[in-house]
Amino acid sequence: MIDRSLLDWAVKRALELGADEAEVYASITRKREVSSEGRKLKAASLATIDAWVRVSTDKRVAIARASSLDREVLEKAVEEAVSAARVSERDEHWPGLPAPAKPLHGWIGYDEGVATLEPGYMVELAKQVMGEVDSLGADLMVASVEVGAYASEKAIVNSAGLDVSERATGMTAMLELKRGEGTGFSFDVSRSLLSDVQLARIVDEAARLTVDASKAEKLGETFTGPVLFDPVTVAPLLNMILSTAFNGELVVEKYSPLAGKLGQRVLGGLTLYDDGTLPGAMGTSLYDDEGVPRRRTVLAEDGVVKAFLHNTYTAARMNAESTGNASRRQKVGVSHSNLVVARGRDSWDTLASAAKLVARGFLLSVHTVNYVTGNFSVVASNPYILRGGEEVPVKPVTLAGNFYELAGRITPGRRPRSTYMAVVTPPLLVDGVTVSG
Amino acid sequence: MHEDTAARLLERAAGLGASFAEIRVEDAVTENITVTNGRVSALTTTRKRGAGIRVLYGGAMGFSATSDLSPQGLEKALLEAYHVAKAVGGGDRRVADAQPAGRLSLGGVKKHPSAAGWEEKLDIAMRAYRRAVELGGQVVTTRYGAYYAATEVYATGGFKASFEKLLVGVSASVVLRENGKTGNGYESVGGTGGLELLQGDMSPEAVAQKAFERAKLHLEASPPPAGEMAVITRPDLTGVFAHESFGHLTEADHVYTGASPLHGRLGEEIASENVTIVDAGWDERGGVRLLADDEGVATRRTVLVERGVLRGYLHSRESAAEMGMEPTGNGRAQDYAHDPIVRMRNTFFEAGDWSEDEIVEDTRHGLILDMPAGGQVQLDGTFTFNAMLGYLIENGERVKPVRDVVLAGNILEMLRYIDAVAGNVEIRTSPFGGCGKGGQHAYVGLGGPTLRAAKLLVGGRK
Repeated sequence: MIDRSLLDWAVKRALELGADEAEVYASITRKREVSSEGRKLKAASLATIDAWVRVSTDKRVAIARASSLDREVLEKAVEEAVSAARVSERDEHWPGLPAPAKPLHGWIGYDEGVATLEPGYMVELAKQVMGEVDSLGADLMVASVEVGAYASEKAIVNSAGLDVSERATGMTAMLELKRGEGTGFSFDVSRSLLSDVQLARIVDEAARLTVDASKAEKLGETFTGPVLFDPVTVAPLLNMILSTAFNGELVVEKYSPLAGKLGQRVLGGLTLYDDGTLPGAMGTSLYDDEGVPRRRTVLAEDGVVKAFLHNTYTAARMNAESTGNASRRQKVGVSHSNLVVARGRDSWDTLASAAKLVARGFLLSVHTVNYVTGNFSVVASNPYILRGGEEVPVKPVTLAGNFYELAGRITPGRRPRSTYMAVVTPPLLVDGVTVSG
Repeated sequence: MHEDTAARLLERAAGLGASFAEIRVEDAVTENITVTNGRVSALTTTRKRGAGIRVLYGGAMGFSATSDLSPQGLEKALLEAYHVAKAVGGGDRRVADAQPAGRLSLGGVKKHPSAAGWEEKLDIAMRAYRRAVELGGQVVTTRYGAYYAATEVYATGGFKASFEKLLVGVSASVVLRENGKTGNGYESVGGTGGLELLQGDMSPEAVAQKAFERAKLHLEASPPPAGEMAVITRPDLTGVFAHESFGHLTEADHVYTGASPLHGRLGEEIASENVTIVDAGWDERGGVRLLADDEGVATRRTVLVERGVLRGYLHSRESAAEMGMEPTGNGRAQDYAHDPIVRMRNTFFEAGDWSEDEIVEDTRHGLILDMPAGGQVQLDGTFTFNAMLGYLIENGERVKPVRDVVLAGNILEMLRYIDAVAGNVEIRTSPFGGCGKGGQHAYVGLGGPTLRAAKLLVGGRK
């Protein structure tokens, strides 16, 4: 348990040292994981601490982070933050730290059963997955398997009177297979215990992709046409393009192509929202990383930009309210909680009947997508060409286009899936993608 | 510093029946100043101090980590590592014998970031920002970054090593918008040394200038045609090719399991004779200087491909034992809270005897590409790497700028198509990027000369 009186002490210490405002954020994550190289298992058990001291002095802001909650270490971080803030540049826009507010929903994503899982149980699950692969008798090689569980606690105390804490859990499983020149990968995530059904699905999905990939032939052509993306496949692309485009900081600083587009129809017929209150989803919590309550924010309705994602600072810059989307990575920034693409009406089969290629598996190089322009040029790991209504596996192909130019040609399917990036999306049929392979 | 405590812990591990144990204590600092459109959007210092402990019990490896460096805290972490190793229920894991790197320190550092004030560091980021704006940059982000650490490794068999890590750098990103078009360019530089490194070609002003020039060209560029064609990669991009497309497949944790397509192919000709690829802890032409890996093994220069023939793999102590080979100093961990896994260091193509101009003049139809945006490889050898900028070449002439392109292929086919390699090797690193694997980040160097692949799949537009 995080000792909040220690955080409160650190806040007061910063004020004593001359800070106008101070905030201390601390998280403790306990993670247990069993992973393999081939079939050789290894296990890890970690408890990591991430402590942030953020102070402002005359609207000059600085942060010092530490990996310990020892009082001496924390005090040193406080001193470092206060001395760095003195030499930072004054930011007229600095709105101050957020005031306390009550959470807007009551779902707690914490499962005591996950938090107390013994590593021995995870070893058994990993062995169960490998056993299921063997039982398929498909000459499949296990490249790696991973089963992990984490439990985390975060607490935030600030000089504006905010004092919050919450806990979370999650469980992950991943399988990568190889057969000849074919590879296949599958995973699942959950806030609670992963079921046998979920584990079996991982095996079936990875095996199917691998067996198909081992038989794949070269596409041998370049065309521009309709591509149907599996939800898990397209989620990282949506994360790279849409999560950044609606990021209030990138909008304020004019990196986002949506800057100045509020009220304009730029996303075809897509409806998108951010929902940090969605029960069971990976990004759901009571508070964001500044202690502001999570909520549901409509970002685009029928293609019209309605709002952006904000933390306290970016909200102030745009005369808006924080949407509860503060995050902490390299700095206090903005990120989605759960980015949701509204479902459409068409079944997978209906969408497939209009597609020329199906993209399953994952997209290589999706992290290289240019979010400033919306240009993407990626590689689909496990594509299938549709011939006479049949999915025929082909070798990896390149997929390229500009998301905003194609937005009016996107048709969402009707069955959404929650993915590990906290992107909830149905399959998407996207027309106008250039495919080459 | 922690030698006595570590010795007691190693004894305790032996008493529990562990055949190997390792205590790695690290104190690391990361500094980041980001200036976005003239505003200090981040001024952050991060200190990660703790110990990572590995225990090999019954042929299975367990790992645990703690930020509590008291004898009690370390013992608790040791017992946790033992507990999880035992839970695996046996195996045949071993670690290879290795010579400890000993006590190593970086010499010749004039202005270590730990000894410089925040004013000076902020000035570095502000100078880059001012220069980018003077040139006409409309949306500008500049950064100063540093990473430094002191690492100690103690392991079974009297193994002791201690060494320093250091990396400083500066970066700039510029966006230009004109007539409904957007162009963005970036540049980042870095190296192992003090703040004195950031001058001349690595000065904040030079970095801003390069980012601006790239943004300007990007603004004028259009997507390239899609399909197979000749592709010339400039040194920055060649480095990403060396690392992403090939280097990962030489990491022996993928090799010994049989997952890498390079498994069992040592001594085979896998590339054209123009190809020599090396992974080194340090090279005088640039990159990050790594004295030892995070298992305390001195980094050695490892030739992966020599004139087209596969000569080596990259090893940690664990993978070396699996393959009956020697560790190469490639067991690296992101920080104390992660276990060492096989990672690259500075990976680069060696020089050939063409010049860049000769290669361009010799190309009838193709692309010359620069400004890498990362890449990826999968275990069947399918690789991708991306370039943000370049030119279409027709009949030996650069005819029009192109942008935002993915290059793809199968590495074992692709290496055979390299038919021209220039002599202009550059090796680069920075504290802003790096490589991700198994949930861990590592600072790496990448490089090589300008080279041409006679045929490569280009993910452009029709």
